[in-house]
Amino acid sequence: MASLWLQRFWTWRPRSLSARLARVGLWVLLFYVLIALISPVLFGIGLLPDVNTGLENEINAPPSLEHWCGTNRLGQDVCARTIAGAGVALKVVVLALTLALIVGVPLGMLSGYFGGPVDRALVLLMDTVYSLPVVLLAVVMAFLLGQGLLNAAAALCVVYVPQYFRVVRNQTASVKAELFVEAAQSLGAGPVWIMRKYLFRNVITSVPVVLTMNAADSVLMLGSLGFLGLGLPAVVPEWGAELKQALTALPTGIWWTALYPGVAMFILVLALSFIGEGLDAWVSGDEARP
Amino acid sequence: MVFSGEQNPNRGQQLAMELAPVLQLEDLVVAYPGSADPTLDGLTLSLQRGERLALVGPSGCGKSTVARAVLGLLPEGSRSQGRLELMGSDPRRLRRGALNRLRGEAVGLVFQDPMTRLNPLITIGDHLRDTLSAHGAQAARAEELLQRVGIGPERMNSYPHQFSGGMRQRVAIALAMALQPPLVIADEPTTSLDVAVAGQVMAELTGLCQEAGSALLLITHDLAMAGRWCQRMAVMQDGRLLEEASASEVLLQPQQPLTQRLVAAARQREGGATPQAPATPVVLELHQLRCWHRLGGWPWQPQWLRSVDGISLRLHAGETLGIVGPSGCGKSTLCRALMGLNPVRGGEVMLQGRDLRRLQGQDLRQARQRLQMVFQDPLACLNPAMTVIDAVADPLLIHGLASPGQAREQARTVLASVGLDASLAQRLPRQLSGGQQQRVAIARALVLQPAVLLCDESVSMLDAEVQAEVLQLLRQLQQQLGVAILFVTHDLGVASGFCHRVVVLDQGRIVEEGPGDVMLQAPAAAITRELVEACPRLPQPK
Repeated sequence: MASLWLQRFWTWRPRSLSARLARVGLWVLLFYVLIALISPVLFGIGLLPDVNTGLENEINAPPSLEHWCGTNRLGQDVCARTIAGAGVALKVVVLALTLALIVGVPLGMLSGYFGGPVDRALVLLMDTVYSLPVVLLAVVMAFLLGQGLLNAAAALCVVYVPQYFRVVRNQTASVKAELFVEAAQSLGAGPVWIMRKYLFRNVITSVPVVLTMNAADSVLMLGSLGFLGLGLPAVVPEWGAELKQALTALPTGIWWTALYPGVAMFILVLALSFIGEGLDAWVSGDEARP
Repeated sequence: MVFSGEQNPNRGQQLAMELAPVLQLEDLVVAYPGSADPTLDGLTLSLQRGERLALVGPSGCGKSTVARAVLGLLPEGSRSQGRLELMGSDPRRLRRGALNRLRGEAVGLVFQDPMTRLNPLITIGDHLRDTLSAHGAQAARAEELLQRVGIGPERMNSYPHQFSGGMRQRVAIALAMALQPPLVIADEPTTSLDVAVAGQVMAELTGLCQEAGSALLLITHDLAMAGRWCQRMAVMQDGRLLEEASASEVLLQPQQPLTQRLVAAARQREGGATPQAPATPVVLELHQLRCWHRLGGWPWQPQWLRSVDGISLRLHAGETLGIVGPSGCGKSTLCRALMGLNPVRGGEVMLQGRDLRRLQGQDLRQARQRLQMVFQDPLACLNPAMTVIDAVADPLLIHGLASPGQAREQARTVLASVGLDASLAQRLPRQLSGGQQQRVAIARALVLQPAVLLCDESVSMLDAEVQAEVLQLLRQLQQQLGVAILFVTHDLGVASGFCHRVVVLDQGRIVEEGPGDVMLQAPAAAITRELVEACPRLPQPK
């Protein structure tokens, strides 16, 4: 089964532009995931220098054979920190979006299915949250929750819950008027049964698109938090925090500390956006099944 | 052909044009993109000026594709070969501007569902004025056109949603006839309308065609209607012309086996002898059942829509009771109220001696297992994301009557008993034909072993042949299981041959009761007479 999918993906040669870009995006994402999985091993056996040791290194050293991407102003290896940053970013993003899904989707289904005053109150709350500037919201949440991997994920999750809520709630409200839901009621099915077996599969169709788009967005958001000094502790290598550190040295011609984390983040965001666009086009029927 | 692009055609050419057929198809082959088999496979057909031709055939025979091909409405990438000539020119070779002119001026089209043709944001008057001015005709004719189809000028500023289905179809006819095209194509124009309204709409359509001298191509699966309104009839099968002759000839002496089957199925629909009712105990008894909808008014003086207003009836085990009436008579409300989908305002519902209105919670759910419903639209009532076997097994799981494995086993048995092959079990509903979908819906209702089965217009969306099959299945299941059936329909003909007794509803009350065949011969109530008369009938052999 799994090998069949892999084989189909390997031989998948789409014609439309959006699907071709999505294919590129998928390969890039796979590459990042591989790096995130392998890098702890490389750090463990000492193939890559530890991310936080820099006292014995020259500070702000340009790229050389010893330090491929140079060192930063604390003498830490930029290459190692950039590679470690991939794992951190993916971990936080996956955690944040999983949390947002776990909260947003069931809440949206309940709200859309039952309607009434609770639904109206929830819609009002979610729309209020949605209308706040996202960076401001994330900053406030991160500030309130303090630093840490889980806290950063929670801060991001609050930003994205309203999107899943809205998509799922509206879809539920329209699908519940379909005849098959009424037919299920007439069979004697209760609300939970109907939501689980009749609504769920029919209302989550557009969630994957929102999910990939949000993944791209949340990588940037995590970077913004790090850039502002919030979110993750300083010892965790995070691209946004790296950029902030690099900013002070940039005018003196030290470009390597900013370039590598910046490019790493840029490519990941681009890849996730390509996947999202491709999924969107596929769901709306522009491209035949892969 | 005679028609050429010359500026001044001479007298001879004009004469030839008048004698030439309006529409001529020769060996037309059409294939949709992505399908290997052609939908039309060498169709040859011609339509003379002012002639009315009915195109009939089982579903999927390519009837509607003819209309699309003639109007150049085939989707991008379709293959189309052979000769296709409309007023002497081939729509496939025309440029966009000429094609648009051809569509409005040479052909008018009437669709099955008029709402899809009307823009909900534009008034009826603007629809007509737009059509007229787009083709350079006088916009002032709009009012006159509406009056011709029986809609007063005061409705010019109404929006499509403010009209009933029949009125909308009239507007669609006015639109199609606005420019007096030499050819009108009507694709199942009355399928979504009830019998009485359908008759009026067809009378107006054919009347207008006759006046304008237009030819009519009526695409339908209803042989009786085709026979009543058209002079000639063409039977199609698998994209080919099977038989073409005058309507009465086809209906009285069908030559081909398919035509014979279709005519036989249509005759069966017209009603047959009512079967003997079995002498068995009562399973369902309604006593003065009332369902009123609140329309507004003051709290101390509310206004009510009395959809069901005091219905009492008894249903015996193994008996079929037909509930017949025009649209809006309350028959669907009655079904939905019995299923607990509509609130009941008063009266008693006794199911196997227990009053459903007094039960609550678990007891009510248990009692309701004995009452199951088969809906009108089988595709809409099945979860599109659930396979057939899961859909049939689900009721057992809902009531916790079996483990998932046992439920699937039982579902397989029931599927076999409704005549569905085990290979279809893993399919999704939309991958089945209409008849198969309705069998799934019946299987799902039967898996809980109900004492009473409600069929709400359960066969009205199926074509005559499939309809006969499904009715045969229901009868056979009734004999095996002894289930009582409440059969709701607008078609007295079908009810008379299938039901042991028929009840006629009008405005939420029972107006007539008795055996269906007697009622067809000698209708007593006014509404029954209307229903009997409106129904087009096949010519009787001498």
